[in-house]
Amino acid sequence: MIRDARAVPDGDSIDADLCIVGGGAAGITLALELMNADMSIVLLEAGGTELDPDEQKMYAGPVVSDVLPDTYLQTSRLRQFGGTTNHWGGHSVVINEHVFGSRSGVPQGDWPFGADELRPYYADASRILSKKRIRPAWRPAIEAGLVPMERYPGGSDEDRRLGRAYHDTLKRASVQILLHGSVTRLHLDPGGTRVTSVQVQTLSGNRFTCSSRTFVLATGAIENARLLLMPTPSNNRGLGNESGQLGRNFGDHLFLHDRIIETSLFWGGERERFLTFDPALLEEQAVSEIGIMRLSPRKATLRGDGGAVTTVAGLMAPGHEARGGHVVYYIEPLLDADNRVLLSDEPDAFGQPRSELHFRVSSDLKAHIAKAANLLARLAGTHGLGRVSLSDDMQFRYGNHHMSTTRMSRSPRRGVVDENCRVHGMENLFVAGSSVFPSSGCGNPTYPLVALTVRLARHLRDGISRRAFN
Amino acid sequence: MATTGGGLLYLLGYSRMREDAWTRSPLPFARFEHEWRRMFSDLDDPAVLDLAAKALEEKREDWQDLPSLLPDLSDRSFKEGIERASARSREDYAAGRIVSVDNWLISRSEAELLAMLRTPG
Ligand SMILES: Cc1cc2nc3c(=O)[nH]c(=O)nc-3n(C[C@H](O)[C@H](O)[C@H](O)COP(=O)(O)OP(=O)(O)OC[C@H]3O[C@@H](n4cnc5c(N)ncnc54)[C@H](O)[C@@H]3O)c2cc1C
Repeated sequence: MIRDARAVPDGDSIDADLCIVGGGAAGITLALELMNADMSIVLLEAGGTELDPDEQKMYAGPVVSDVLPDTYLQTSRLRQFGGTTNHWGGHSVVINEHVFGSRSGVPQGDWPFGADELRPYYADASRILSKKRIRPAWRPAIEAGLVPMERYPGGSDEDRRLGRAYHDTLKRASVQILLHGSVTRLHLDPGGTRVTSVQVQTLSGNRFTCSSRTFVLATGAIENARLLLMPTPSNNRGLGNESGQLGRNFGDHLFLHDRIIETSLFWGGERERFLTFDPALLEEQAVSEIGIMRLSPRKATLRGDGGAVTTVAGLMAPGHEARGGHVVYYIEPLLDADNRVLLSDEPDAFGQPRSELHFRVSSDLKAHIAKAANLLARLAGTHGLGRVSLSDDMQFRYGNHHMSTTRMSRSPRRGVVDENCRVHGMENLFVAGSSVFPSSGCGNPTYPLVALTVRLARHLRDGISRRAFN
Repeated sequence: MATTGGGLLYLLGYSRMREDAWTRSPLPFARFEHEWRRMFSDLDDPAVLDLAAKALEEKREDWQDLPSLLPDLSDRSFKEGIERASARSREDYAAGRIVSVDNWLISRSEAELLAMLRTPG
């Protein structure tokens, strides 16, 4: 059932067994996975079925960054039913096994469980995202020691936009979806360990509450942190913030385009070209996971943009032609506590503090990129596959992949949520989405975040039926 | 034979002149010859040297046409010379002897070859 929150009488109170806040990739996944369970569910979504500029402006906030634009908070996410899947590219990958373990390149990046724990849920994530596996190719590079990313492109454009794709299914389901209703505050019990209700406001001016036995924040990595940071009468540090980590370690995948000369050995007409390095090599070099996407090479023959280097590369590949192309490095963010979401002094239309984002590219990250490019040069050169470049002046692009602001850890001293995505110190408050990723690897996050949300749905279904969170 | 020498000259000339500047202002022949000899000595292969010396002699007249001459990479001597240089370069790559030249991450021996090609004659 889909309703308009603007029609809910002012001062009303709604009640449910489960309250999901946010109807993007994570929120819709929860609704789909639990709609047939024996529980009442309310999903509160700030936006409508179409993009509304006034709702979207609610996402604006100050950005302090050397790479991200001032408009990043407003343009890198969507406040609309279906969330940011209304914009996303639909490409995604499985997080590689080694990312879950302890790595010298990403200290403290280990997950509370291994890759096997998430594996069983990817099949459901594929179904939800209409994804089909692409067989990895670019064979000579794989033979040279690079590792293919397990990659899943989206289906049709309509399949990718989850709000549209599942609108009718959810309309017929017993889940109660309220559009145009923004959650602005969490109300806690006197002990401060349980959420009793959330306050909902609409731009039309009405406000009401939603009480529930269990709450899940699924509002994206920036808003999840913002809602948890909002002070409550018993807690002004933020919920689950014993570690001081709440809002910190914000990550996005940076992309760096650079040139590549490929010898004809490298060509094969394969569609898929997303690779990374063997984990042992990454560990040896102590670098975070850096992916390599080869863009379709231009037919540049020896006149490729490598100038004289192209000639030498051509010379060194006897019997083969060399041509120029582009390679994109997909860079896993390092955990950097200064890259963070804060509450700004600027109020939004509901009088609540807007998000403020701080994000800088550290010299450590640049050093990781240089090491990875050297590694690629080493592998490609050793195997006669080509030559790569790395410009001194790194011009980054970014993926709009918001991550790690409410990191998962068994210990409340290291993370914001536990291994089941429950906020530390809270009995009935959970977080869904890539904000819980302790580290992310180099790949687009939505596929694993949906798999992780399916896992959370199973945990909630069992817990709510056993009244475990009461 | 002529094709081999022409091919080397083509590559050498391309390295020096870059892209379309090549056709507009070819290098003076004497300078070209000088660099060509140095390149051959770098390849360190008397057979290739010999072949190329003859090819150069033949091409003295019509070397202006060089851009149209493509290397015949199937020629055995040429190939062997290049393969030796290539093997040396691969060893460098495998050992991580990589340097940055114009933002390209290339092996030390390739960088030396490039430097040689770029030294004014
Ligand atoms: C241009 C672009 C391209 C992208 N391409 C890719 C890609 O190719 N591959 C990939 O994996 N990822 C991609 N992404 C990222 C991807 O869109 C996100 O990873 C994904 O949408 C996150 O899902 P989510 O549910 O956590 O958040 P969202 O999808 O952002 O959903 C959050 C929902 O919460 C709602 N909400 C927010 N605040 C409140 C509130 N206070 N109260 C109630 N509701 C609220 C929002 O309206 C929204 O519907 C891309 C993003 C962009 C911008």
